[in-house]
Amino acid sequence: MKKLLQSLFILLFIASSAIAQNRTITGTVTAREDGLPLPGVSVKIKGSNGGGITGADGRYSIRVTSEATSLEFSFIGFLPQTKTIGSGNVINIVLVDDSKTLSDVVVTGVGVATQKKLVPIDVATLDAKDFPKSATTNVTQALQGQIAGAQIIQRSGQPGANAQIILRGFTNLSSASPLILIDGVQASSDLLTSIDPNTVDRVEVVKGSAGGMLYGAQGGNGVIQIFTKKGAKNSKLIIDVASRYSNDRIVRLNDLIATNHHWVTDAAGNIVASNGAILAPSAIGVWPNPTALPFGTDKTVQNNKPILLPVYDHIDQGNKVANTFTNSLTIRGGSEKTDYSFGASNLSQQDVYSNKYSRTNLNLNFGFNPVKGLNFRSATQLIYTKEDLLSSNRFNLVNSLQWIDFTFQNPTNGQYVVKPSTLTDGNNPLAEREARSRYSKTPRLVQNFNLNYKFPKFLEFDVKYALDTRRWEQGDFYFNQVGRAQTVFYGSVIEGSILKEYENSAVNYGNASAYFRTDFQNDFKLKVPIKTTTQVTYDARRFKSNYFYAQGVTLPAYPPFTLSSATTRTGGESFEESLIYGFLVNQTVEYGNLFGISAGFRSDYSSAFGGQGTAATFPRGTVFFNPSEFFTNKSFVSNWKLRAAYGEAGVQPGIYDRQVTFSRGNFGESGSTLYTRATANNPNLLIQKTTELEIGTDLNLTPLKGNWLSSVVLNGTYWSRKSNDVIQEAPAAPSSGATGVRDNLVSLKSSGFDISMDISAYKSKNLDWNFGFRLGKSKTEVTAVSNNVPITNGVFYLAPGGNLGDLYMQRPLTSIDQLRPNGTRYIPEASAAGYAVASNGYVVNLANYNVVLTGADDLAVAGNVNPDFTSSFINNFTLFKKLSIGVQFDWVQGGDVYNQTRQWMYRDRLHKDFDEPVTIAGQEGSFVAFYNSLYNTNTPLSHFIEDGSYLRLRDLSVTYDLTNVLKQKWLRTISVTATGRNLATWTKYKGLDPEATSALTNQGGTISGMGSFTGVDYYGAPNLKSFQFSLNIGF
Amino acid sequence: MVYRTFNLKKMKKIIAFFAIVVFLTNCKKSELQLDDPNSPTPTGSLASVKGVEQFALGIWSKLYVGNNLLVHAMNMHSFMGDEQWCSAGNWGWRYVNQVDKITLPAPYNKVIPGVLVIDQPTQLKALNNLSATNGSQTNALIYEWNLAYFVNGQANFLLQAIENPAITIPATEKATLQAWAYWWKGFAYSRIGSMYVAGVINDKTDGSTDSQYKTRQQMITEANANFDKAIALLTPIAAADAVYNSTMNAIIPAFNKPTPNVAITPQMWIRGCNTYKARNILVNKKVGELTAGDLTTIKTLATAGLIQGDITFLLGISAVAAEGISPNNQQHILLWNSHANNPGWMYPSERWAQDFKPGDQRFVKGVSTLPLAEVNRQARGYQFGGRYFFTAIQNGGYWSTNARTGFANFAGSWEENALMLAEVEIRNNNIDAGLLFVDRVRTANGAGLAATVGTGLNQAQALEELRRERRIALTLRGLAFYDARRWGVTTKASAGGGRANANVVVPNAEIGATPAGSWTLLPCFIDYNYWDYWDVPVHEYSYNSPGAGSPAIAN
Repeated sequence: MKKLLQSLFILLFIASSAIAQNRTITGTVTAREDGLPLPGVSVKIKGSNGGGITGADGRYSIRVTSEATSLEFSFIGFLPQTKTIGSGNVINIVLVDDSKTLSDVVVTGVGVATQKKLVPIDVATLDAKDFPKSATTNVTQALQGQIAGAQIIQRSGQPGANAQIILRGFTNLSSASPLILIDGVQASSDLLTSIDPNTVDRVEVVKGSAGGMLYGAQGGNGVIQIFTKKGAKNSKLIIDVASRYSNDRIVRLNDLIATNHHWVTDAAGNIVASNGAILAPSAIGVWPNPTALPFGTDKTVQNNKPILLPVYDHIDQGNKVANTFTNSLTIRGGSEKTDYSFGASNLSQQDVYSNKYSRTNLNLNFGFNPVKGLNFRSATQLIYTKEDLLSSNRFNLVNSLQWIDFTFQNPTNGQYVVKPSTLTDGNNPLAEREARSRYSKTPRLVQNFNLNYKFPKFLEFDVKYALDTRRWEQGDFYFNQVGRAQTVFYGSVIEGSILKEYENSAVNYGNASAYFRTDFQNDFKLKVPIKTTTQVTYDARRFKSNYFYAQGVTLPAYPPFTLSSATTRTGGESFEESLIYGFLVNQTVEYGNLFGISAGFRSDYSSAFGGQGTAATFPRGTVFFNPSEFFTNKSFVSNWKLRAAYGEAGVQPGIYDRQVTFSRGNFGESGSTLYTRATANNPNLLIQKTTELEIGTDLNLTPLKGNWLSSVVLNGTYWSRKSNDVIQEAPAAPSSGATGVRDNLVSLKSSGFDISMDISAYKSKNLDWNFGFRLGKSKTEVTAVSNNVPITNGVFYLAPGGNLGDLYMQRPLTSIDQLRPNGTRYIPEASAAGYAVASNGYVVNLANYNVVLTGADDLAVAGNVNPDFTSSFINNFTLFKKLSIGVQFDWVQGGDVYNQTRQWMYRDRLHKDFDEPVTIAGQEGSFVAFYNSLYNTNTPLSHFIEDGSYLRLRDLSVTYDLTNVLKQKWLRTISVTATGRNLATWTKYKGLDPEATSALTNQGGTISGMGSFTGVDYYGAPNLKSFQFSLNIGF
Repeated sequence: MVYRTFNLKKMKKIIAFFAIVVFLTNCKKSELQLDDPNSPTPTGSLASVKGVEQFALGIWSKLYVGNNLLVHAMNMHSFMGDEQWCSAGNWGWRYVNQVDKITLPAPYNKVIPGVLVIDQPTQLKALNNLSATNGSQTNALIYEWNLAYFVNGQANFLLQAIENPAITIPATEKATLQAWAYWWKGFAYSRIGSMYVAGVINDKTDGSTDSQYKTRQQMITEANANFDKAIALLTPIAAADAVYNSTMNAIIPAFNKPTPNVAITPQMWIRGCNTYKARNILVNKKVGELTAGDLTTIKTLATAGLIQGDITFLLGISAVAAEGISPNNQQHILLWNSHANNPGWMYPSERWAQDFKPGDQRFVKGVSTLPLAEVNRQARGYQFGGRYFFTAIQNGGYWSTNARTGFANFAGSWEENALMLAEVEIRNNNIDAGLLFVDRVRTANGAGLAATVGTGLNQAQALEELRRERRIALTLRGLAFYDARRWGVTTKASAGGGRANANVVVPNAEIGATPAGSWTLLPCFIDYNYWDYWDVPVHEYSYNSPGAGSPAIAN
């Protein structure tokens, strides 16, 4: 048999070389994207068996017979091309890469690089070239709207603010953050905001546990992997330079403040103070308190008097138009055995509210191929972040009397007035900038080494080691404020204080994998097209951090103001260390392109669970099937895949959450104190586990042959999850001595689907139109709370049968005969005449025009902060191959927002709603008592739930490619781009920005452990609307 | 073929290299034993006498959980006792201070209902829900409850730690620490029994509690029993005992001591317990319900109670914000009302100011006039208005501080004890014997008022002197509400309560006076209509349902 095969092979070889060959055709194959030569491109003579591949320099040389008519060029990730053989002997080809095709390769969640055609799970990819042009500051901006089923919510417009990323639904109540990988190694979640988007080549997103399972105890929330740009072997030096300027201002969809008032006035309409004098500020700019008309006793008081004093727009006074500059340089190239890519960039971003954020990135990616099969790669990211932002409470920018001028400076000392009025809370935010300065500096190194050896057959070894280390330093200075016109001050004491903090942290990560592959056809000469891969991986992650602080309180009257000069000094430190390691075994069997199955498991050991010695094990299994393999005609359906995956993954408890310890207090010279914790730790805490099933299909259609609709790529996935042992603080009666104990209290169930569609809508010589659509829908339900007591915190509510993100509260009555839960009437029939339904539908007590609310014991779910779906529409047009226009709309439908800002403004009776007339029992007027009664002690009330749905013009960009206009030999590429981000928003929402919300109590405290991360508007920093200009030059 | 030409030696090297890398990154199970390096463990820290002392000191830390709970409790008492007023809704302050009706005097005779229309009990009941407790923090009922039970939990743990067989604590120190734990338990149960309709007695340390609730009277009995245990432990200890002194210095932080290194002696402490026990009887009965037996018991206890010069437990302010339990510019009853630092938060009440007798130097020194009066602040009711602010200690005052100095008396004082004796004597018709105590307190305070002894006051007049003196001498000591309750001031008017001739800053807009925007001080009738005792807070009964046989836990 063997001999026979050998003879056949020899025969074939002789036969093919026996054919007459007339001439040799040579040429170079390059990529259109960067002009680099492409090695490994297959060159086939059409209609014959002859062919070859390009060398490391992208060159090929092929002998063709006189009968040969054309050459076919194909390469993974690029659109194949056919070129007619003419009279010349040189054919150079420029290949166009096409990530939309299934020949693309993904890595994340599948363990080994796998063609999309064969991937059994939902892996979304985004190439750097598809990043929206306005995504200049960080990678999360680039991902927004681009990945179906990934909610990426920029909850604050403050520079450097991390986005909230939710992949599909929720697996636990305290964090939705996915695992972040960079080039195969783990990194902390803020990497997405700290890495320079220019260094990113591609991003892969695995949304579910089925793929996340490869990452075990850390993969429960899904995985986002960043691949950095590499050089290419045998390529000449290329240089890219990009400069961007952005002009940013806050998104401000509505005015919030009333134009009229209801204060006591004199005959001329002037507001008067409590001594009867016309309201006027003191010499140092402090306003006396006006007196409100007695709306509490006089229901007819209306907010209808014009303010005769000059009024000021406080939001404008506190926010300016800011400038952002980004400059980057990339140098890439390679020789026969090496490749390199070096990048340097700087981001300098002014904050609209205060000061500046800047980031400098240096990166070097270096590959070395000393012997065949052996590859060494080093990727280095050096990131230096520095900022001196003040993020203080923006409450006063909204809740201040209209006539207060925050920019007024006391003429005697040129300083702002700290507390311009005692009637409203808080202080002038502009004055804080005089009293306080702070900064943080963070140098960070992310170093990644990878050694890979592929044996000629069967075996591949891969070892990665990474270090992510940073040194964070923060200083916070409150100046000595003695001598101000008022003694109101910022900080803990008027004499000022200094706080300095340092944290060194490092993540060491190691990963060793062995792959054993067989190809039945090639390796065993069997006629079945079976390929198998066995993956065995071991990885370990160790996190360590040391934190130190020193504080000095009471500074001297004269400089220098140092820690040493402070009267009292304190210090402290804390340490954290955690270790997780585990191994993974995964077996894949593929039968050609037709179908494949895989199964495996991962076992993890962690210092944070399992009594520090018991593994948590997560099984998985996947299957795919390509019915299109049976299609004889692929002219309409070029590829159709069905896939299903099942997997388990976990989310760990906090690293010391299972250790019972005391708290320690600091009483200075009196020593330390020891005391029991208010929330008790639990030694029996288990890891939170999620099991997920996803079923999906990937479909490539080529509907029409002409210019229109030449290609449609459709991906759809349905998924369903169950999460058990979800950790929540089980509340305890205070008489036990604690308020609660951490416990595996809750079970969740979620399901939904993701759809993404990419269409080549029109393609001609002078016009390309590509259209993309993304849709994600999910819902997370609470299936059990083990102690059966619903958990309420702020506006949020967790109860069996409810949904995550439910808003739970009192409601205004809408009918006079409305019943209590016990079936009795709220308003007894006999008193009904004393009530009326106002024009807005609320029941009002005619005695005082107060709105009647359901009882405090009659709360109900009145909304949900999680959207029904998130979607986006992405259009790209290219005209005459020079002018590109990109438009991205993000549409979020159905997420409610609790407008706490508005409720607080009802307290101060400053909201512009107070100008709006309402009709009560035939009387029309802007009745103060009516509106103010809805403030209702700041108790959550459905009146303040608003539809937070919005359609946002996320990105609009116009790029003009000047390369062919300038036609300089040294110039590889040059283009200019004008971009707008968040230019327009369509919403019914009444606040500043429906996207900039978070989960807070009505006092501004963070709510955690409720599975809600957005949905409360509490004086947040709105997103930015930006106009940008950029210049890209390549040499 | 390529495979054959492959260098086997090279391959071995490569495999060896990979093997080494894998080996180096390999982790052992023993490495998973990463314990919290920042926090002491119960077994580790309580295995030494020093650790037990620090745990005893840690009782103070339990006063501050998110907020200074003791100060919250004292502020609420101050608002409800109408010493101070506060229109801010934070922590439910405006709601405890929500008077039912204010009736203007003739010729107006106008009844001004509370802005929120509903009365304080209805309001507090409505806010006693989990949402207001956890999110908006407007459930006023939780703070004093939390204070008591957090302290009690720590005291229980301390009693257990003292008995740890692994350590040997000197006998006197052991007794002192035990007395410390029992004193705090007595304090905690006193707070519950004096403020809530029912409570829970819990001596356990395993995180469980008792579903058998107790009546407020049973809580007071338990409180006094704990004070008695403390007294029994302290009785054998000599005044100058060195071990006792060093223990006391270890468990009372310097910022809570007016004079460094001067300790409360065992005898002072015992007297303090007696004063507290006397208070527990006095403040938990309406004045009309006091029996002769009660008066005798109070007299017996107060006679063994605090005397002038005694030091008691105080709440001070750490000079360094981070070192103590007043980590910001509020969180202490004297810091919070600083008009310089926290303008707009709280002001002395007109009703309190009018209880000074003319010429009282304490008013001259302790009270300053606002440049512009506060009128119907935040439009939340006329009770939220006034002409004054407290003069800071730094400027010669008593009841407010602009800097981090000053002490709050929360656990009894010789003045309180003296005035309890005065009350017993006056009620027993020993008028001058009682007024002697009143005069003594006034003299000691430097009030500069003429003596009342021998002026021939009748019992009612003498009781009025006493009432006023308790209002003034015991300002911000957490007694104003107890007094308002037992004197019937906060009882609803329809049941005979309320306060007549109560000064109120009334806006001119209400009475059609001029100038507009200004105000007129009118002697009104205030119908406070406050709860006498509060319902058990929602977060207790939600997670600790009352067992069969429990008394009512709500009004």
